[in-house]
Amino acid sequence: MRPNEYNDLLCKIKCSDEFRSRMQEKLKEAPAKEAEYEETVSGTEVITQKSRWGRFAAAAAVVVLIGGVAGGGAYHFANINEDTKIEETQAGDSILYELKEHKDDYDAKLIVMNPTNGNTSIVDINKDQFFSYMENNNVYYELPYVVESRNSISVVFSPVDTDKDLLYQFEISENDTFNWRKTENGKKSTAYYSYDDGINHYGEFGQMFVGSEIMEEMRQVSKEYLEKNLKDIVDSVTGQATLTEGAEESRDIKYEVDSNGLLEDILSFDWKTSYAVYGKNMYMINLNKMNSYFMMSDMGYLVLLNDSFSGTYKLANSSDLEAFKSLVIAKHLSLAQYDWTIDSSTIKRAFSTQYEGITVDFYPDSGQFTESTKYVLRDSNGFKKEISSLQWVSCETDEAEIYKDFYSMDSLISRNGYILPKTDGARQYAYKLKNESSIERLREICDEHLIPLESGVDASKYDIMDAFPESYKGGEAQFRADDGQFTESRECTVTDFDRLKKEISDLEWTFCLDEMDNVYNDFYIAGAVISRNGYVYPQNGSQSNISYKLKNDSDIEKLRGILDKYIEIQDN
Amino acid sequence: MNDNSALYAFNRFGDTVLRTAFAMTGNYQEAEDITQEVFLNLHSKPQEFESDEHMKAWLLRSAINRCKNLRKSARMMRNSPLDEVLENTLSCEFTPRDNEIREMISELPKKYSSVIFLYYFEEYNIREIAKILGKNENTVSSLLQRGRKKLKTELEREGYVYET
Repeated sequence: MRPNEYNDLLCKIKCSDEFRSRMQEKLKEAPAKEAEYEETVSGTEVITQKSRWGRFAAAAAVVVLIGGVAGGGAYHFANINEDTKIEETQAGDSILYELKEHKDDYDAKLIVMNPTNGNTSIVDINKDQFFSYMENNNVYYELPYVVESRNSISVVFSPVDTDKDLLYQFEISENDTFNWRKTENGKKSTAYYSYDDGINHYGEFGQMFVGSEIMEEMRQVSKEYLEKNLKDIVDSVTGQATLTEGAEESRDIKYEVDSNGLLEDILSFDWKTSYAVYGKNMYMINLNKMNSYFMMSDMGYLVLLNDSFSGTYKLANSSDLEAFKSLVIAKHLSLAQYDWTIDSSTIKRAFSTQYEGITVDFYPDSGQFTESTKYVLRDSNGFKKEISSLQWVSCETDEAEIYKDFYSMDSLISRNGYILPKTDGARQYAYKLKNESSIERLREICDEHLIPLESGVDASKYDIMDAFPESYKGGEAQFRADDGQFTESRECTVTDFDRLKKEISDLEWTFCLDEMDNVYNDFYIAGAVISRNGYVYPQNGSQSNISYKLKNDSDIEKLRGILDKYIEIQDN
Repeated sequence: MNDNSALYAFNRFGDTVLRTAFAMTGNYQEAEDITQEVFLNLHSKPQEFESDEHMKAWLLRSAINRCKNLRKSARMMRNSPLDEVLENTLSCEFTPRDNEIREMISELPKKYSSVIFLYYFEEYNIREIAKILGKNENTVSSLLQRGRKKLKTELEREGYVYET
């Protein structure tokens, strides 16, 4: 393709008159108030930096205020959905005082249930203490709807007079919303509220009326329950996350979309519910559905919310925190967090697509000014295993030593002790050897597995097998007498592709550089390019200008025999 | 700098954004949808730009991000040719070669197509592209090299001569 062909086509692409006029009309109108998709552009120095927090808050109708550093964290959940006009009200008081006035007519029982395992505790509650608590904690807003929460504590007021059909129920949830429900003659009415004084009422209420032992038991989360609810949310991730550092600064980071891997890694830890969320850094994972969000913090917290479920969790064992940071956050989010230990599976994953016999470019500098030289990767599994057995930590991507003496695979690996992992999008961090003393070992591994590629280096049977793309299954093929620029190609049929591939790969081959003129002469295109003059040019997309040549000229006749046996040229 | 409004931005850079999206998706309909999203978003959430160039860079980045996040909907016929209807709509003619190039664009991973577009069509240099895309210059350089190589491989496979 000539650049001018590309440019010619793009020059033809312009807004149609219809589209132009439609857009102009829309842009003349007042902008729609829509919080569906906030702009995610960064890096172009837009002057107005807005907090990204509002998007999620609006989407979820719930916001978590981050306390920041450990120990100082206050939080609350509050309704801040801009689309919903909430008026401050004390409407709940009417039910509260109505009930208080007749408190002696009612028995009160407190019910706590752990929905993940069905365990329920029912305990007596001191009514006077309850009313006193309610009166003393009266800063809340009325909500027009319920904000679902996993755990809740209910207080049921049932009439002493069993003939009386009037029941009251108070329920406080772990997201610090509460509701009053009144059931009279079978008719229910419910009012919803949210505390707004920054106090953890659910926790406080639980401690005061339930007791720490039962509350702790209620916080246990079964793996099945978490998996069921987490799966739905994790499946909706979009590949982009927002890192919020402290409570104000935020920026977009890339998330490697590996839903199953993320789910598996999160579930490898034990979790319990939490009333609060703490973190120096909070990671909001974007979901492709509204009214849902998924957040993790570097202090070991998870927040999940979707249409039918919400929950706040923390690591059950604080000793798991470092492992969580490495196995979940560092592994799945491309973070600019440096000097974190990178576990060996992450290092292996950086080379996951490397396979036996792949050719690799080696650059003595950034590659902008010098030609690369070719290497071939041998014993790729051994290479990955040995590289990952070294100790690595995260580092910045712009360290100069990364771009010197490096092999360019999908990931870059520098002989100076760095790996720049492949990612699809903005790469946020690289890995470097934790100990400089390991550099020599790294070089030894490279020298052992990355062999300078020169014409004449033996190719393996698997190199030849891999020269054919997986998608090609035989059948249609073509034959050309020359490079195809001047003559018509002739249709062919590959009668038994598996045998053809096997018999060709059984011959002895060597790597061959820059002999493309010989390759494109009397050749078949049958998955790979196979020249009757003794060449195979791979078409697996992994390399260019590197072909394979028969090691012994005496095998050329054998090759031709194989080709004639399995490829039939059609009569034109 | 004349105006920060989305209408001004559209009148000034509407074609550029559409072309960017087309250069990444190879599909006119998708490109139109992306363009609409970019400008409606700017309309509902105005930004302040220091200059027209700043505005353009922001719009390009916005379009490229959206292309990367694009999920194919059923109505998008990715491999449909640039048909007669589109020719009439845009009052121009598409050659068979245009169709081939469009298909190659649509097959090319977006990380390469964005860099190739910015380099060859918009004629930004590596440093400018790095700034627009938020990548470092080495990455951009490498993407450009690999993108060209990938195009070349595809074209060689089809028997074309690749010229740079």
